[in-house]
Amino acid sequence: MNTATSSNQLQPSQHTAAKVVGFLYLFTMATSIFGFAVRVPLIVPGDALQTVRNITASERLFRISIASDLLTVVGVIILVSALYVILKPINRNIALLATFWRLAENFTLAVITLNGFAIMALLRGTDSVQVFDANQLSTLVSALYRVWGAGFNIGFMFLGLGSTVFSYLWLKSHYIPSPLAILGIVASLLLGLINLASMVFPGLANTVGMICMMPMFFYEVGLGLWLLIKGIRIPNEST
Amino acid sequence: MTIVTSMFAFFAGGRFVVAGDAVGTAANITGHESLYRLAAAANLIATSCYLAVTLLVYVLLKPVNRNVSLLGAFFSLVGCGMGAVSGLLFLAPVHLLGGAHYLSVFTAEQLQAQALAFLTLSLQANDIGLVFFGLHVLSIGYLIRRSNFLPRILGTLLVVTSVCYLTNSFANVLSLPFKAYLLPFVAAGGLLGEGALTFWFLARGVNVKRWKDQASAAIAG
Repeated sequence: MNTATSSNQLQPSQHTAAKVVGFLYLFTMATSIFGFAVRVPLIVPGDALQTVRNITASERLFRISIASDLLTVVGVIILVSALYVILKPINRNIALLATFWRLAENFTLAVITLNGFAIMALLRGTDSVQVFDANQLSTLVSALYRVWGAGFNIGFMFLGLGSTVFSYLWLKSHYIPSPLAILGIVASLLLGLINLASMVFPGLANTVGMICMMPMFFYEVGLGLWLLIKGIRIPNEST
Repeated sequence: MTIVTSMFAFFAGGRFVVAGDAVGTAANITGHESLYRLAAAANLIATSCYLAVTLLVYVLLKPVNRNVSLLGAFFSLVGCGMGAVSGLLFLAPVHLLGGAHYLSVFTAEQLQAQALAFLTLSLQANDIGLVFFGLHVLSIGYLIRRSNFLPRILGTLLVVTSVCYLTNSFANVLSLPFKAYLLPFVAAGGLLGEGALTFWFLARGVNVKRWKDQASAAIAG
């Protein structure tokens, strides 16, 4: 294959990009979990009125969680660009496809932060507080929160698609150990499919819960640590 | 190259006029609906033009550092998408206030409150977009400083501009107490950096010979 000859020598930019990817996998994992962990305690399932009270009382905390989500998006865009730099020599067109899917993911995740601002606009706007009664207001807020969750489904579906393709390129490149790349393919496919399926079967999210996220967590943290500590290497000729 | 740069200047210049217009008209939804719709259309045109700007700037600065140029373009793409979403939210009040029959389940005050919420949201979408445009401008500033076919001072000004944009957006997201005082600085910073770049492209363009040198050096390297 002529792609093999072009990937025989690693460029300095690929090594730099690998460090960037390694750091950002860990950084964005931290910011995304932080954003989620700050927000979730404010939401009381099945009690929209209490949720409204919580968000009103801790508005700054709520805003910090949104800022953290946006920081994640910014970090992941840099991460994806760096992934493109590393994996472009393997197959430029496929790397570009994966990049575009992951850009769609990050665009979606940036847009859905608006749900948070919509919730605050409803709770804060002095007009809307007066014209809606408490039940109407809390129903609107919980509807917006559910739309937010659906937005994460859409974004994660693109994440699954893009990450599957990037993992496939990692596997072809032999820049990292094959088991890690295979874990990436499995974890990303699982994440993408579960999120796609839960659009059709809304109950699925409750059944599967966070389990479908766990392989992805281990893959991203594992790959991040590997790239930071070991970096990428030229494949041995014996393979 | 002259064509490329003058197109850039034209589009970037157009973007300013439009942005100012959209903000100025936002308050008069009910009274001046066609003007309001015009502002929405102008916003979409500005976004389309900025996509062209993104491509042209990417091509222009690719010889300096291809990867950074691409990253900047990605940021801008997300920002432009945000601009389109903002346009959709901007139009929602027109429908809410349009008096269609199915809307009669809400009282007039409730509809107005929802319209206001959508408009607020549209502006918020612009603020979020500005995070990504800020990062785009930051990458352009960095690349101009590293280039040898454009004056370094332009790059420095753009870095200042991007810092203004980013500070503004994060102050708004976190609702920091000083956010109200930021707008004049952000407007001044934006005008200074992007205005200077537009003016330079219109008046002087790039040093074509040096651009070609750097481009061929990038290909050789």
